[in-house]
Amino acid sequence: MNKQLICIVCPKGCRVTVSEENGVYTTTGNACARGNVYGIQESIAPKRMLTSTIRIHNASHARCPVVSSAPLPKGDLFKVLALLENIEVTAPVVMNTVILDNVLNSGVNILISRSMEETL
Amino acid sequence: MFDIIIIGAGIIGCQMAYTLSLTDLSVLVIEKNTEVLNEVSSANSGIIHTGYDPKEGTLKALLNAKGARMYRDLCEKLQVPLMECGSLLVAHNDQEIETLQGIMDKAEHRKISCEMLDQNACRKTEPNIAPSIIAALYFPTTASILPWQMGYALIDNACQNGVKLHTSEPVIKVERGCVITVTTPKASYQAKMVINCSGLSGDKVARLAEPDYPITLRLKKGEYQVTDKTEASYLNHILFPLPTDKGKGVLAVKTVEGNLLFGPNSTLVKDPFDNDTTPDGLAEVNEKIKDVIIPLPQSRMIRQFAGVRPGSPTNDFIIENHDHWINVIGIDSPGLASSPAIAQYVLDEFIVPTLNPQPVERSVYVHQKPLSMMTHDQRNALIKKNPEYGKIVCLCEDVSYQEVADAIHSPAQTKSIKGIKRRCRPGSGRCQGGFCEAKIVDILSKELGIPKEKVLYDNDDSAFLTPMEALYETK
Amino acid sequence: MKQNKVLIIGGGSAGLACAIKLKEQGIDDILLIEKENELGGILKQCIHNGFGLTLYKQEYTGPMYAQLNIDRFMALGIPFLLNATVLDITESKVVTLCDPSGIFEIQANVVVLAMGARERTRGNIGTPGNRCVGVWTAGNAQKYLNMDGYLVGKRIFILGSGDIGLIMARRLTLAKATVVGVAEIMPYSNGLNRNIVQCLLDYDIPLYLSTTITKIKGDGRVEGITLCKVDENRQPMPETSFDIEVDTVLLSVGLIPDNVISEKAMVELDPKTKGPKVNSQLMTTVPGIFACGNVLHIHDLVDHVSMEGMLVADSILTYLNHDTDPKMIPIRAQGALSYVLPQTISSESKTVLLKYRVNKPMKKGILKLISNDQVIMTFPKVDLHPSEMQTLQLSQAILCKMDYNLVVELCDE
Repeated sequence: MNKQLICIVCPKGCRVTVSEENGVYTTTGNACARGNVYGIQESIAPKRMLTSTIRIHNASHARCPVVSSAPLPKGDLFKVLALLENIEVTAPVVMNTVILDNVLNSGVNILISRSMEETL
Repeated sequence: MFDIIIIGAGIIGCQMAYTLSLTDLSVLVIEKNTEVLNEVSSANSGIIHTGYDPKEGTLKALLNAKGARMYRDLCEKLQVPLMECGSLLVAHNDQEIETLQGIMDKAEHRKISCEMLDQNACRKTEPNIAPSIIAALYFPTTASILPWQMGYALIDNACQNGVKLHTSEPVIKVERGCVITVTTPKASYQAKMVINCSGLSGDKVARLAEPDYPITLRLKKGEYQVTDKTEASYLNHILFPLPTDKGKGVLAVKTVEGNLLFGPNSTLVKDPFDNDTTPDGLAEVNEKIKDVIIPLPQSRMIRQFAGVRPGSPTNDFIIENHDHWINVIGIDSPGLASSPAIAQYVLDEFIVPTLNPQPVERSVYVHQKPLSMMTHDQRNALIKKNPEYGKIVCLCEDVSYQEVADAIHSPAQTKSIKGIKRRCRPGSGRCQGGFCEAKIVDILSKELGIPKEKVLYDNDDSAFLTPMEALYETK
Repeated sequence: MKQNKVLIIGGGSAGLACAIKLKEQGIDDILLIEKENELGGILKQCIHNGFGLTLYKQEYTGPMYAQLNIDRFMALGIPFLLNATVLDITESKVVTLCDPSGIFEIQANVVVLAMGARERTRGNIGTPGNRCVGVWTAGNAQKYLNMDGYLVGKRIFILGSGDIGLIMARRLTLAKATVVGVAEIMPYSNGLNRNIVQCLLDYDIPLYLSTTITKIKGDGRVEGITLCKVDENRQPMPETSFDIEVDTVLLSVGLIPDNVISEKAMVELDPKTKGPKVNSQLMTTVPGIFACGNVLHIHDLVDHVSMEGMLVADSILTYLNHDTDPKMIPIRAQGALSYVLPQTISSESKTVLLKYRVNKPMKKGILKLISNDQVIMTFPKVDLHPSEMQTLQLSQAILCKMDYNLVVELCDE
């Protein structure tokens, strides 16, 4: 099995070919080792980083950005977003605070992505 | 019960309202859009023509020169900026120079000053003039305004003087009897006389009063390109090619704020509200502008717009009184320049003999001038009193938070993004709302006490923000 | 009149990096001026990740990258003003500011231009049609969504496949709007490959190459668009037109360095970059006025923005110590290059980082350095793309070989 994909790990975007034979995966075209890891992962179980926003009160803006601590299974993104829809925070908040722990048992946390002070 | 109902708050309606507000008559202005000055009045060249052009014996000939002469005093009284830059009517060959001579005679006969310039003089006074121009007629008194700046000054004063203004109310029915009853979806109103200055709807509204009214307006669309105000020094005067039967032609216009206008072309349209810009129209503007000026590239334009003008089949203003129903329609060019004289004419010819109004002494409402035009000391005095005058929300045009709030609460009120843009400039600059629109939404939301999802862009159906949460349930 | 040794206009990534480096090098008399009510610049609304890989070897979200710099800036106690707008600036570095305390002037020894960029608008590209509500630049829609939590529409088409447009395609889809498609006038996408994958392919959003919007239709609100394929001269071919129903059009058609203030200071602009002409110290044609970040030229990676800010800080120290660059060598770009920056360098610089963009995608090319009609060096290059800014470090050894002028030329192999 041969699969062509574009690596998304860094802005280079190498064109990677993933080959599978007898359960062993190899990659060509990746400029670094991370591309090898990505290529294989993408072929078996694609994962994506998730960034979004949640509601925040008493801050300079109405939304606070959040980010996943690691890539999540691609098919779970909308489920995680649905969980985030029910979360609200109040300023002040500090960057890197965990607001969802081990979301959907993925081992991945959702973190606050910036500090926001309380404003009147 | 009112003495007068004015239908339409474009420049004509606002001028009419102001003129009548200086008398003891009770006046109601009914405007179909959410904002005043929303149609023809905010999509034209803004030129105060001197009056040499209209055919002898027409109302246009009578009222253009008269109106133009009233502008300086009116602008001074109401503190409306007037760009007195003069104009050049250009010629490219001997035949055109001959036509200029004829126009020169006509102008002199009407006591409008002008002077013939040769090629060198043209180039000297207008360095970017088209190289093909060999002579021009210079009219020192041609001027330009931003029509809505005049319109707002007029309607604010009218409101302060007691005129009632109802917006978002289209007229749907008219009944004639010993009084005239005008009905909108919200209410019915009665008046002794009605002035129909509903612009693009002029003939349709006339037919509400007289089902057999025979006039159908000749609608002409004109498209324009607009530059940023940083290009102001590219042009010194308003530039005209020789007029044709299509109209005054594609012009280069200097405005009071510094933006330059290039346009309009002229195409007949059926739908009065078809104000789309078109590839052909813009291409025509881009081509024909070369007859008057060395063109600027597309990348130096910040906006395009188009306006439909309601002309009459006779190409003259229609200003008539049919038994207490006054039509002031078919007001296309030189309508803006004529507008003060039009209002005076309607008052003198139709209203005075019928209602015998008495003049009333009124104080003049002058909206605070933009802080960008004040001295530092004047600005600081205001900022000391209210720090929101020091918070700039519009970077391109230098407009503060409080000035936007003031515009919202002006006598004639403003409640939409487009209205704010016309009132005090945010959205008119190089960023076209990129930096400032979200802030204007904030201010409208706060000052009107409405959630952001109810803030209007233009008319009542133009709210445009949806809270993210509103989509949470659906997918 | 107030006085400051260094005035930095802009509290985004460029301004913050410059201020931090200056303070760390011992300059205290700094004032940073920011027009918004928070520091951080445009990154605050770029909530996606992908920032910092070059500089920090880690991927941060935009707000995190900004926060790291804001935290360092605040910890250093550098003076700054918020809600402060520069209204005017003279060649002699008198800066007129307005903020809620008033309008006042500051005489600066050094000014750093770090005002960033603005988005190209519909009016710049002249898209015909109706001017009803429903058309925004992608960055504006991004601000409404990520900062305020509002969608500008529900059925969206994006013009321009630059990264902002691609990122917004994904963001809007995650926010449950429908992104109907993306059109790109060039025959290739302008964004990073990774964004094509994770923003379009992941969500089955079609990308129409060699296509543009020829009409926006609507009455009160956008109702649809007409799309057309374009020929090799990027002219629409009307016979290929097709209509799509949408209620929103987002424009992602490029960024323009916002240099209105720079022009007031009589700084010379380069029509190719649309930003100030600078030397290898990133000093403009007005001595003591420096420029960095998006106001200088449009960047893809914020890491380079920060590095420019830091380079300006170093240059300011040199400038304040009255070290002058003796021999300035003008640089000209030739061949398949959109621009080269800086526009002049000193033969006595220890090293210079040349930055350039190609004007067409090139699988293989040769970059030549030519001085006085002699080729001094050639560099084979592969996989070059207009959407990626390229760099070339010039060592002292190469700089010594330059005399009078430098031509940087890129040609096909």
